[in-house]
Amino acid sequence: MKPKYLLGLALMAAAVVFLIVTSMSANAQYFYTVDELWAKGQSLVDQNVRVSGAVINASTKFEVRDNQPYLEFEIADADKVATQKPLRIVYNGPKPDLINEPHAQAIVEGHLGADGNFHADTLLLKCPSRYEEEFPNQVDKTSG
Amino acid sequence: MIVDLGLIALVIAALAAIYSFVMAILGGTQKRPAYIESARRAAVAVLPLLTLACLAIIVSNLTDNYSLEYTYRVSNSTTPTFLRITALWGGQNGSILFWNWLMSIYIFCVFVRPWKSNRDLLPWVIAVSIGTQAFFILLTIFFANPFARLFADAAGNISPSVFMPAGATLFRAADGQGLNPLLRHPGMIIHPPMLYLGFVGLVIPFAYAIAALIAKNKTNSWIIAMRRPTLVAWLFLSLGLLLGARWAYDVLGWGGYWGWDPVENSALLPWLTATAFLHSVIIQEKRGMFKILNMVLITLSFSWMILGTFVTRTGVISSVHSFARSSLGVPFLSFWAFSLVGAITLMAIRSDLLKSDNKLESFLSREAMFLLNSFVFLTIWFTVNVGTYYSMFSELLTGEKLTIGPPVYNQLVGPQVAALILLMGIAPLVAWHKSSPEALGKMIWKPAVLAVAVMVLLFVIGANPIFVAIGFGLVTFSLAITLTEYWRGMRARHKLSGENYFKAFTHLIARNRRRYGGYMIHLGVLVMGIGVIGSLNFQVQTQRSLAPGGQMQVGPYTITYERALTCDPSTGQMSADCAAWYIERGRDIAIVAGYMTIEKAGQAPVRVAPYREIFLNGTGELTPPGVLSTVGEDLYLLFLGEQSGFGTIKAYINPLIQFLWVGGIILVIGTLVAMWPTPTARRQTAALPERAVAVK
Repeated sequence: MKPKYLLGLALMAAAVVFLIVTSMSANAQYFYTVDELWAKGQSLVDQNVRVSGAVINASTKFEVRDNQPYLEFEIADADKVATQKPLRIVYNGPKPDLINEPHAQAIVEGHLGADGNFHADTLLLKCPSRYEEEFPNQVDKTSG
Repeated sequence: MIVDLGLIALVIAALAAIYSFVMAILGGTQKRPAYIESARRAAVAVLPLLTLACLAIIVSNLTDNYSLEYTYRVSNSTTPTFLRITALWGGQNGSILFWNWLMSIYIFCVFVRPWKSNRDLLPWVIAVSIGTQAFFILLTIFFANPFARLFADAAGNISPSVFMPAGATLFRAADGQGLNPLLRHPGMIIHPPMLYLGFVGLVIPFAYAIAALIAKNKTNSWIIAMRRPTLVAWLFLSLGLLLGARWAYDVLGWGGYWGWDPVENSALLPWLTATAFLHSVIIQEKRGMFKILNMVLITLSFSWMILGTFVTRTGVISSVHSFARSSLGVPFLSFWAFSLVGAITLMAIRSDLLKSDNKLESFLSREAMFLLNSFVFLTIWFTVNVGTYYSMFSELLTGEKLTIGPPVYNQLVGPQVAALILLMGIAPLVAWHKSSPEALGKMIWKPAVLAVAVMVLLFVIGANPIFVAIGFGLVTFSLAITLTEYWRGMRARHKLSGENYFKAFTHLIARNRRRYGGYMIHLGVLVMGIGVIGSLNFQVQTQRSLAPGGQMQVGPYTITYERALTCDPSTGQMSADCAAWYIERGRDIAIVAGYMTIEKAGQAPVRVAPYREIFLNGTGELTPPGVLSTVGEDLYLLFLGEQSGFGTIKAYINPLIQFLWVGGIILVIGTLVAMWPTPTARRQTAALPERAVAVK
């Protein structure tokens, strides 16, 4: 192959790599714990991020406002529930059933608003206790 | 017992594969035809043995054998017979066995008859394909054995093991856990086998390519021999991707069909390089060029198939930590690295064999267009790779976890796909060797004018953003050229032989299946392109919480919410209406359905009931939509649940989405046409000379 073709392809490849790297680093979405989020604080306002934490069940509030579902609840890092400043999540969506479970973990995607609340676009709930599927106990043994 | 029989069959299959691998290498290096013949027969024997092993699992599922760990995990007493059979691939260990079985089908088909030609390649094709098979059977036996049984030790702890631990007794659970509800949907039953068939089939072209290098075969015979099996694999891979998209649209309920999720991406990656390979290898066949590129493409397809299997089978990608936990990680990644390093080393050793027979004469030549095509496929491949594995790397390097969302992918991949669509139109018109700009201009000015007209029109009527107009314009351009190619061939036959147009059309395709089948695949992709651009850019989305009797307006549709129905077998909340929902559904699922009516001016009202299907074991839920499909668009309604007397409804209008599915069907038909065997006698009288003529 002639050098000029190789040079052309190499230039195009460099352009593509440049595009990918710049747009990915500009748009990558970070995944934080509540602690990390508070540590970054104001620098994160209006930036699209993901946060996960344990749901503080008592803080959950759901109502319908102007024909839109409105859900509000607080999360904190599971090991720091008592000591940490909780993060208030505001979500315009239905209340998932799992949110009232004692050890519910929420993963939210959205942005930290200037008001200090986290405005979630998506909400995913996990319940660690329900995920453990171990083998039955000997006690369950009913047949040979 | 049947389980023992299955395990024994699996072990014998491993031995047969290893034997075949060793004999193929001995036969190849020492030039002993008897050894090679023995290797071939042993390779063929793997299919019946693995069939026996798969049957053993199925029988165990059917006979409620809950002392087998696998049956315990994927079946239970309420699982219907059909699902007990498909549960063979419903869990990790069974699906790897099933994956092996599918690979052995390809191997069986390729080696069942003694080879008359390409006998120099035979030992090496056997060695590479059966070597891969042996690796995966050993992986099944040692790391993911579906024949592990449950044992209770003296203290009463239950653990799975293939052989009885000392002092333990066989434990039989009263009932199993049941099949993951996600895998009970017909789409999810058929989609994995298609994808696996596509995946495992890639071993065949890879084996041929490696064999040609080892045997120092300079001819094209391996390209011709591997063409059909490669197309079979490509067809299944495409089908797997399409069915996966359709399944996601039908049950996952986010209004879309492709989420750029790591599991989807890892199935797309080998498809990208395999598609590039299928194109580029034509140039090697006709002009003896791009030999290194083709080796690279098929090697990447094969090794990323291995990586993809690992990712999809073990769910590793979500976090680096789950990777460390998976016992499959080390063997899988070692094999992946070995296939890559091995192929590259072999290419270096045989570099004299990979020298190009011809030089690229002009940038405006068919050869250059194909090179560009491979280049763009590789840049897309690179983009998707970075996006998929970026989060893993970043977590390893910086400790910060991050993900790449669909908008970033769309923004990056979109322009690259646009370039492919443009090439799809131009490339078939560009002559081999060298094309003159004038000749090319003559052929493309009409479609180009049409395309620009479409762009301007869309721009004027306010298609936003601008690249929507550009996208539709490019699709129009390539669509016009492809259809013209059919029309030209048809008219020429009609004039020459007096056949009517329909006959001329069918004969045209029948006499040159490779070319016109290929164009049909292009047509399918272009039609799909219309659906993708439309649904991606014109989607309308609304959400409302309504009291019963409340209404919402979405585009031209009025939706009236009637009521919600909640059925939960675990709490006994089962009103009379619930019976209809549980005819074919296990009692480990709760249903929350929303009944609503769709009205549109001038049309009879339609009643739909989108619902949520909640798995009571906590593993997740499905949200199948209520859909009103018309040619132009889908009204896609989701019921998100009922709270404080309000039902929450999410409504999407997905314009042009039908084009996506129709295009997919055209693509499948085109592939079938392209790979259908042509009787040798007919090939001579094939078809018209190409329109594109080289300038001398």
